[in-house]
Amino acid sequence: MISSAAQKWCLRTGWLGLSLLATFGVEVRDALALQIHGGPEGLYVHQMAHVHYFFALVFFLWYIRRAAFTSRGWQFLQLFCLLMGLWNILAFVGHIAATHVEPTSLVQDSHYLTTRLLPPYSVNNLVFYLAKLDHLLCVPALFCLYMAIRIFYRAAMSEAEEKNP
Amino acid sequence: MNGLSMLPAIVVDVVGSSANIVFAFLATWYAFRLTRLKPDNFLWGYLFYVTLAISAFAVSRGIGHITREVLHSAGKGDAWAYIAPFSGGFNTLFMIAVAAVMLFYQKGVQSYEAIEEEAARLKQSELQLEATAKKLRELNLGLEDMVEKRAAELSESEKRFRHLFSASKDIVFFSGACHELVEMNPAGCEMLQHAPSDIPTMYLQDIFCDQTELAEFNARLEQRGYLRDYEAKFRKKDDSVISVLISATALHDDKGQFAGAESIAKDLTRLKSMMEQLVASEKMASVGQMAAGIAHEINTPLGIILGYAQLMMDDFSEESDTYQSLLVIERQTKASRKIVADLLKYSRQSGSVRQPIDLNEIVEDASAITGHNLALNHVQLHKSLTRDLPLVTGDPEKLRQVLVNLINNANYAMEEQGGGVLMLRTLAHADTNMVSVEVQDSGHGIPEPIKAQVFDPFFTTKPVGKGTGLGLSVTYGIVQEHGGTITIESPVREKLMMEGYPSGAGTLFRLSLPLATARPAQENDTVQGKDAGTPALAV
Repeated sequence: MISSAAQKWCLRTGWLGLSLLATFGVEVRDALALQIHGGPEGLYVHQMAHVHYFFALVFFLWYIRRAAFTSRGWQFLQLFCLLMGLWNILAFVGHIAATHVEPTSLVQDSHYLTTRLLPPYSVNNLVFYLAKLDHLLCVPALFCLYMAIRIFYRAAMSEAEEKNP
Repeated sequence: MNGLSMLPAIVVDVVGSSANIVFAFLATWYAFRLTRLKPDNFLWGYLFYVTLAISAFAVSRGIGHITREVLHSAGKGDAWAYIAPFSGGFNTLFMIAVAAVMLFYQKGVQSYEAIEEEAARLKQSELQLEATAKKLRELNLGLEDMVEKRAAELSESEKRFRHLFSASKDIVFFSGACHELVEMNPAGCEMLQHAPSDIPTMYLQDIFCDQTELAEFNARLEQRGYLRDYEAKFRKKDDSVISVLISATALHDDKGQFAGAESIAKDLTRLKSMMEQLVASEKMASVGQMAAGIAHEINTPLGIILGYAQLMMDDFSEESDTYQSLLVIERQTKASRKIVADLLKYSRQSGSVRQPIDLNEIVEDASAITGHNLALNHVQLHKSLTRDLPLVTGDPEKLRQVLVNLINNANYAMEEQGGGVLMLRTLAHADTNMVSVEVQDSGHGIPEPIKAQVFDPFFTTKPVGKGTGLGLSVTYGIVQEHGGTITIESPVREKLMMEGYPSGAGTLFRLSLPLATARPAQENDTVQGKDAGTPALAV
């Protein structure tokens, strides 16, 4: 049985480790005496934000489960955390994959809407394509959030009406 | 046409972004209403901020994505290249904000739980306090009832004892450790003639006549803790003395120290007086018997002496010494016979005639006989005679002698002070069927020690040769013979005062005789010798 303090330590250490991995694992370049803050820095920060968001969701999920809230609203909220956590993973991986897609793999015939991903379909390219469909995870996640809050509201409303009919 | 079309991804991106914004806003709206519904609920407040952050993120991200797709579709990829860093920056910022708000949950919940715990503890304390207050109220109510009941019992008990204390005809008093008087019942105050308000300022020595008695009283009380039937004399406010029989109990404080006493004193004055009267009556009865015997024995030789002396006086000339000597013998023998006659009267050995008498007439006769002497002594005579005075039965001669005796005594009492006032009063008492005659003077009064002796035969305060000491004895004997009483009041309560006449303590002789109808007696009834009624003497 892991103690509460140990769990906290693991969470914090994991968050820091993944942040570092996101920072340094994406691409390694020459270190210059004068750092010029180009595009990659924004991506790194964004990736760190995903990691941060992911761990916040995991922590929130863990805390909700720990508190043993069992109503439907809490179940929807847990589902929101789960789906949004998965979306973070997908988005994180998708951002990495996007940086590795060769420009020649994407072509347009006449218009942006005709853009295609050309074979051969490497794992990276497939992950990139799937990650482009990330809304299939985050929209249900937000729907769950909406459902959870609405259920809470209705329950509170019923309770208030019972008290003051 | 080979390859995977990116169009589905573009469509999903645009539609999904819009849906995200809608759901995020709906969630925020419900969360906001939740906070309005329960403003004091931390969790709903927290969820409102989470949904608000998510809405901001959804708007930033959704608008960014839609803009990108639109610009790319419109062939404005360059423009998007310019906007993209801003859009990405905002996305990152709001994502971090969402994460930060979510992480805040733990601390928030901890604080909320701590507050809730404190609130619960306070509520518990409040409940406990309420329960305790309720219990206290119940106890208080019970206590009030108990106190009320106990107070009522105490009040009843106090009332009983207070009534006993107040209604007692004896002297009941409480004294303190320093022998100060604390409280005395009304009967005690009345008997000793003190106002109740005076009592707390007095000490036992103020009411004890004899300080030796007081010392003994205190010593015995402190030694034994109680005192039973202790005879003492109390001093009234007017300095007159009463005899009392005291029973007392000592009071002690918590440390066992003497704290005072509660005492009951019974007035024995009347009892003692009656005892003294009884003794005096017995004494006079025996003296009377003896006097009667002596008088009877002396009367015969005195008669012979007088007879022979008078016979011899015929044999001598009036100028001769022998005749003069015989004259002295005759005079002295006659004086002796008078004494003997008085003794016989006192002992009721002399003859007596009974007939209805109007005492007013007797008073008038007596005042006429003594009037000259009274005037000589500068005594103002007053008479207050009740009209239609009921008749009494008796010997008018003897009763006249009684009144003359009493008037002469009064005259003598006022002689030294150079006169005074004499009041003769007749009264009828329907309630007791008695008629009384009062002879009151404004003389020097009779001193207390000799008051009981004034009716003794041969007791006199007059100089030798001026009185035989038989006047009041004979009076007493006659009154007894008539079934009456004679009382003395000296000093007199209502003194006789008259301008130009001296006034002393005064003496009042009250002669009471039964009505003729109350004690029927035959006209000219002759009583010889012994008592015709119950003798009574009150001094």
